[in-house]
Amino acid sequence: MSKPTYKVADISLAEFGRKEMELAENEMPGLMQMRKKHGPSKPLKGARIAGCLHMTIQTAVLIETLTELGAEVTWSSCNIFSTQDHAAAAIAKTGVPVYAWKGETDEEYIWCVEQTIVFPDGQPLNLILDDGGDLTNLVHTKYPQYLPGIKGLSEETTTGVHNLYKMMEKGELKIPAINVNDSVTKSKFDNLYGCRESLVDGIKRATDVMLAGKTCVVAGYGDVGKGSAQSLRAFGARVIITEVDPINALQASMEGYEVTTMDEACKKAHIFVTASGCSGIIEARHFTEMKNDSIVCNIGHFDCEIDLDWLNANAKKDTIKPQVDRYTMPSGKHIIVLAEGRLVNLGCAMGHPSFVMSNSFTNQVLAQLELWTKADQYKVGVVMLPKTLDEEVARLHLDHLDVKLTHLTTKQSTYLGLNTQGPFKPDHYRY
Amino acid sequence: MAKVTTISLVESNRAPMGVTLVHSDRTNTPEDPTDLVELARQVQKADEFVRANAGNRLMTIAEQIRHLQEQAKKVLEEAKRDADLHHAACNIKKRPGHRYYLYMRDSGQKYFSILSPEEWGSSCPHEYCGCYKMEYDMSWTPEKDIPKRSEEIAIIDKLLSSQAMITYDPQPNFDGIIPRIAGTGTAAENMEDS
Repeated sequence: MSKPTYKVADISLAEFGRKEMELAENEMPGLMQMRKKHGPSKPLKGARIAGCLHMTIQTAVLIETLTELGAEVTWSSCNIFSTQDHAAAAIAKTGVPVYAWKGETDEEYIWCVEQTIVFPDGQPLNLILDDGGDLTNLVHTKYPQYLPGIKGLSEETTTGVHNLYKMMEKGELKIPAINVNDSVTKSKFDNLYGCRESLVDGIKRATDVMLAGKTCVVAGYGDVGKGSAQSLRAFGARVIITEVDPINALQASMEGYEVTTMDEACKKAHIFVTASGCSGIIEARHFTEMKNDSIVCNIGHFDCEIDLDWLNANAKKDTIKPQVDRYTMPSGKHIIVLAEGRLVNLGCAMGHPSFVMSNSFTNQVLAQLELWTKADQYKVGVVMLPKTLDEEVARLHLDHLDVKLTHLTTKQSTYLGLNTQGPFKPDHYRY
Repeated sequence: MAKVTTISLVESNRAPMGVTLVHSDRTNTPEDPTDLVELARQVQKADEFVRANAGNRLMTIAEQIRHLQEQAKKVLEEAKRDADLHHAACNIKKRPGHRYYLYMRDSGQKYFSILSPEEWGSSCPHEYCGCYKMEYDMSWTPEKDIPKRSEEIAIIDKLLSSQAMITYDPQPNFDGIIPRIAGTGTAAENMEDS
């Protein structure tokens, strides 16, 4: 039997998926502008893009943007649990070969990714859109015969970008790669503004706790920590920051936050949020000092910030509902842990809102356009999108918010030594 | 062994209704001695019939018991199988009306997948243990029984949908139960007429 034309959990969910996609489209102005601008000329005609990225409603809008620009697309999800089955069904219904469902096994995950490599007409992929590097690695190790035909890849996330630089160092990378993750309109936006909305969403969906008046600790004052602290404070909570970097610690202090160590903070706080990207942030000695029914959660990249192993070994776990566990400590006090120490905004809420994903995905579309239409300009290696395109992504999102941009006069641009159309900042500018 | 059948006649009375009989022996002696034999034979026959009847009826009940026992056994077995299948490892949300494929990992763990062995092709990593359809009552139908079960469900659906009409019809509705015969109305209606 030849491979199925698509594989999703339940194709009858397509109608529901379509309705949610229509809602998302209005909140993804960057992608919709790309369709309007490039749809008629089909600049991606001939492109066969294999994508491996969380198969959600927002991704469905990305896929339809790529097809509207003329590309053929196949898709799999880059996480075994992140697929929204109604989104996958809606995309399958349009004839796009999508292989993704919520709750794949690890073996099925690889099967899904492998199905996307050869297109329905028997031709192999010629572009990669990746999130995390699994598709990139699979093609390099198992299907190297297709590498010469591939124009390049665009990578969505930090983990995948690390993988690309490692491959580059070892001389294993064989195709041009665009690092979408480090576009300003990607990482500076979803980390800061995405988490600013989804952290509190997750805490409230899980516990319905009143934030006003509470003392909250945010461990780490990077982009994620900044967004988290800001939204907690906006609800009327008092926020304490812990930091190892003197610059970030000073930043937090300048914003009016108390900055102290976890050893001090654990005695006074009601809610603990880790956003450090580091391990061993909340440990046994902190748990034992906490107030009764303290809420502990993580929004940093990995699940090693909170020492859950110690809690599991030394406290009695009672699951209140999925993703909400109440531990009884030997002292009789309780600690509430959300999403088992994994990302609380994904485990207890819906992750990033569509609007912020539109920023990331417009970068992806621009990266794919670059790789396809200017193939001769990209050599094997890892590069970021030019700043003009980063600025273009932001520009495409202004109208939807009724933002009126001020334009430089010729006199002003001469004074600044800038082109009136940008780029407005040097590459090293930190925003 | 021949069975001796005793017959009993109704007790005699020398003065029935207060009237003394002249010669009761004469009155009560059977004219034909074979009458008694006949009577005895009749009683014996009746005994046999009663025994046969009871035997027949008991046999039916015994058969029913045997049948019920078999059914009970089947129900218990199916319940155990369904429970086992529901408890097989599974990462996916199982939806009624869909087919799921059971595999066994090298560790011995059994799990459900939406991928068939055909879809896996030669790269199938685990031993295939069978395909089941999840029904709307949360029971499982093995692959070989799926067409039969679907047929049964289709018949019941048809019946239920035609019987739903009963509330709007003052006449009994036998649609789908008794086959329609030529002419108008159902066989049942025609029977009523005759």
